[in-house]
Amino acid sequence: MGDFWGFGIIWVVLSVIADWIASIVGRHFYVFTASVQAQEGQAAASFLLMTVVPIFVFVVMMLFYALFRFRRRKGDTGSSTSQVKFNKAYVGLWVTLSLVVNLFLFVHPTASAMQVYWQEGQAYNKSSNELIVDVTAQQWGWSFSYPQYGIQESVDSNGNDVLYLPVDRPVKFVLNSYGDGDGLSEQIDVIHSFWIPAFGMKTDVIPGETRYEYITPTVISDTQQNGMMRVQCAEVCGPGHPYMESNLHVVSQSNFASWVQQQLKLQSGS
Amino acid sequence: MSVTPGNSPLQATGELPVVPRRRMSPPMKGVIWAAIGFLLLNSIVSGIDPDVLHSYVNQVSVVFGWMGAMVGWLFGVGGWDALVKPAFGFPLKWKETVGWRRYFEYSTDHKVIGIQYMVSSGLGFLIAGIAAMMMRLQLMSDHMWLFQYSKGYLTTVGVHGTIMMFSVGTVFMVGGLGNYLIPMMVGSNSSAFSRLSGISVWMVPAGIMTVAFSPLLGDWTTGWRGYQPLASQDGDGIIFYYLGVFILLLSSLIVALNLVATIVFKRAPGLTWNRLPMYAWGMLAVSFLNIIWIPEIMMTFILALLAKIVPLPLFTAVGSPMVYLQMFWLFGHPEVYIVVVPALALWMEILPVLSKKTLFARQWGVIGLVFVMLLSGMVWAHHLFPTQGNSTILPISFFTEMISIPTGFAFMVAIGTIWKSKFTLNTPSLLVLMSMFNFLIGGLTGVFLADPMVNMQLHDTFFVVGHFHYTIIGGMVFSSFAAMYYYLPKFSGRTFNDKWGQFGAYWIFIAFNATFFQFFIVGLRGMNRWVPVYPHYLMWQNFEISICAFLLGFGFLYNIGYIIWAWVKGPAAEENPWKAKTLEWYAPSPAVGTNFETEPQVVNGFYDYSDGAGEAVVFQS
Amino acid sequence: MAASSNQSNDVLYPMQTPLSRADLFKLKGGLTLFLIGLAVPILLLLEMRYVVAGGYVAPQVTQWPAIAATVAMLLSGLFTVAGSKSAKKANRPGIVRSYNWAILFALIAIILIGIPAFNGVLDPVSHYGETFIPTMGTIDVYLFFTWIGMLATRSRVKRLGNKIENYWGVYATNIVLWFMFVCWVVTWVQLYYL
Ligand code: HEM
Ligand SMILES: [Cu+2]
Ligand SMILES: [Cu+2]
Repeated sequence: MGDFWGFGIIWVVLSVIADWIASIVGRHFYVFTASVQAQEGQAAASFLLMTVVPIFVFVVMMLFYALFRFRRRKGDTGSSTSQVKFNKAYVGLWVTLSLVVNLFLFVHPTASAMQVYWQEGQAYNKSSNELIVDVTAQQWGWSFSYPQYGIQESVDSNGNDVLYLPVDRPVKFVLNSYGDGDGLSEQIDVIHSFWIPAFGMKTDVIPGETRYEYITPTVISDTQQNGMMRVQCAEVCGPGHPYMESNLHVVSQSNFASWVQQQLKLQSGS
Repeated sequence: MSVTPGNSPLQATGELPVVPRRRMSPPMKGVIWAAIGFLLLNSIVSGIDPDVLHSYVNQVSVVFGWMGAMVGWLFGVGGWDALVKPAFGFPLKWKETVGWRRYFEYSTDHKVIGIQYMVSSGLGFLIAGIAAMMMRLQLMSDHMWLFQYSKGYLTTVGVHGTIMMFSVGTVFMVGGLGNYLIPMMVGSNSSAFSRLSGISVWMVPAGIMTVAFSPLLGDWTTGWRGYQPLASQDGDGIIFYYLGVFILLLSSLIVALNLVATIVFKRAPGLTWNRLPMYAWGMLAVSFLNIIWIPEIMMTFILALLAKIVPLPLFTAVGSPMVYLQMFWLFGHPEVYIVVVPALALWMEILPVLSKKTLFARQWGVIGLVFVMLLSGMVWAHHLFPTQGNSTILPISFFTEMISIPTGFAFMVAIGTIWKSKFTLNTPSLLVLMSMFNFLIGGLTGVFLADPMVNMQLHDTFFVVGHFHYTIIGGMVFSSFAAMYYYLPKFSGRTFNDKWGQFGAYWIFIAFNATFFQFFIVGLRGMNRWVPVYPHYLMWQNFEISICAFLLGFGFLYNIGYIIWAWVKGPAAEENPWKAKTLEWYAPSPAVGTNFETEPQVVNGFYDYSDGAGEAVVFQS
Repeated sequence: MAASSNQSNDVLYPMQTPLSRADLFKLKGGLTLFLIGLAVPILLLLEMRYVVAGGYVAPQVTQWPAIAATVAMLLSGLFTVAGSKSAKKANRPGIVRSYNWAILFALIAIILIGIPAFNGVLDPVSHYGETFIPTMGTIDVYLFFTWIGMLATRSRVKRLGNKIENYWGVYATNIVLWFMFVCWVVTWVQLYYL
């Protein structure tokens, strides 16, 4: 019995300490969050972290017990004194707990977070404020157009494709792959993945299908300031895959408005 | 025909046949026949090809040429003399030799075959390991320097992943340890289909070489998953990826058939299902997975190959790229359990022996292995969370989270066995504990990946790369090293010095965790996969990860070198140094020749260490 | 005979040792597993056809070779059954005679199945064509290896003569051929009518 209680007490103490650390570290799991969705993912991740840490402590403690507490002493050659073949309480508890923990995690955060995300999408679609950005992936680059503003392809002063977003405004990305899509063309493009690390979300772009991603940016920043603020292709798509990235700027609403004007001028000028 | 039918080649004595007359070494003959086969078929196909613009070696001809080479190789190395001719009723001229030569020719001895599998697999580990080192070398800097073009790097990633998965992960513990141990473990003198098994092992080096030389045909950038439609427009090297994987899988399929039949039909009297050793249970579960999913992926690869060379538009047309992805992961997820289930089984095999304590809750360990096998066919699409439509996300996520339960049973059994035991701390048991630690991290990070919302961030980043290296290296490779140390006395009759063994174990443990734990962090910081170049802010950490990775690489070399040294020169071992009760320890050490002169009879379970427990095995003479 | 683990004495030569019940059980079990494995790709192909092409059947697909192939395979199968019957009575010339016919009809079936797949009527770049051709091709490859197996069995029976102690090889060939027949019929009905 001594081992049992000793182990239990140490486990509880260590778990509490570890969970306390996890609650702090877990807040930085996503490293940098710049959207509502990233914060949701961040919350889910730190919840998961807090849940798995006691399990981790339990097993690792047991490994240390094997190394030190239960280690065979020098010269002892006999069999173990304890020879339990089964312990109903232990097995029952283990099976029940792992079932409960898993079901629980499935309800929250798995299903709940996904539900929230899908509902956000629906709410954005209903809102008149929603900004629509058409994203086209092509070997090997991104292009962005803003149908609500008549911007066909946004570019920066060097002529590179660039993504500008206003802060705190819901965005719907409409993701398409480049290609004529007649279904039989061999020249059809390949699978890409639209990822902005700071937004905590990625969606694959499948040739012939249209996918949507919903984001509300919350932080004014850009690629120069923070490397996670970039549009990155995350699915291997050929030799140019490593170079398939674009700059991202999240700006204030008023700056966005003037950027739109400047883009329109650029477009009509050329 | 001068041969008289039924002219029996058999020797009357039961002794080992001696080397007959000098003959060309079979692998040499295999290589020559392979070259002839390639030239023959390639020329024929090239010749009848109506397209005059095609070069001598073109997409179609190289496929046929490769088939010719493969048939030539397998025939030359012994298949023709020992398999095909007898099958047509010609007298058998093939005789097995003794000594080291046995390992370089066709054999029907499951122990020779097992070692041939292990060595071939080790060869794959070295080749793919060199590829990994080249990748890490490139990643020390944020711009191209080692490779000239990114496609060269991406090809290296693909070669690394493919060889590691299909010739190491799938092969070492199943074709290697499984072939060697299982017949002994069930008290038999041979495996069920030893003639087939003798030829299947030679497919492994051929497959490894095919993949390793794929860049000769052209760079391919898809990585080990060969995603469509990219694969169809990729360089021609991808053809050798399909063919190499095909032959490696064929080998594993034959292993699976052989192991299932051996376990089911060749058990010694008294070896009931209730007494079957844990490693045999593991092999059984794995082999069932193999029998179902390997043919599935082989067919898929043939379709993909046709899509490449005919070309059929199978996976390029609108809507169908997803078909390939589904078909791939339908196999791909069971595949990862094919890799780890043997490791889980090995823990349960070794721990009771080294802690001299009865295996705890044995039936739950078995249930765990079986349920992992059953569930693994239902979770494939969690590799596609950001890829698939919304409707299937939650069900798949549900099963994914559920599969952690039976996996956890292995931990439950292991921990229950360790508890209050007298745990012998030596190299193999230490490696098992390390494997448990690593696999625990692999499994717990899997909980994050199973959550779709979090997955949307982690997918295709180095977090995932860290996760699966933790499960595969941490789980399977560490367990394989544990098995090598544990069974060394059986393999060679020699043993190792525990100090040097533990030194090696700590070395790879520390270097491994230093390397791959940082994969999680660098992934969370925004490092995506399949890139030789990356944003500058990630450079410092990548540099330092690479240093750790090189230490890990040398650590593996050290351990392999040390095991080889101990195998050849180590101090002599006792017959049964761990005082194990399982049947393989009743066979002679080193296990050469006949396993059991008289048929063993199993009268008790193997894992009972209580004082009253009698011997598990008796031999009636 | 001493049980050498090198097995060169008792394993390397098929059909020359008497089989115990346990041996036979093992061989049957192994064959079953093998056939399960073989069935998987066929199932995959049939499933893929619905995914890619739906229930569409190209009207121009050539009908007669398929029907003729079914007949040829059936005949071949009947002859292998006759072979197995002769094997029960250890009537070796009978086996060889039946197998001569069975091999001939199987060859005809292989050629016939190849016709609709490769006569160029179907466009390989159509959804139906791109599933039809690999499926028929796979059946044909399977059948080709079965055919080689039949040749081997026949040759073995002929050469080993009265050294033969068991006829498992003959029974197994028969089972495999009938398995192929079932695969073919399912494929045929599915590709042509469903
Ligand atoms: C010395 C130890 C190893 C190191 C340093 C290493 C490193 C790496 C790196 C850097 C990648 C590329 C990740 C990416 O960009 O996607 C990778 C991929 C991979 N590795 Fe390893 N690896 C090692 C051992 C292994 C082993 C032992 C296995 C399996 C048995 C393995 C299986 C894989 C697979 C399947 C991939 C994915 C390849 C792909 O994306 O197609 N690795 N590894
Ligand atoms: Cu891309
Ligand atoms: Cu990409």
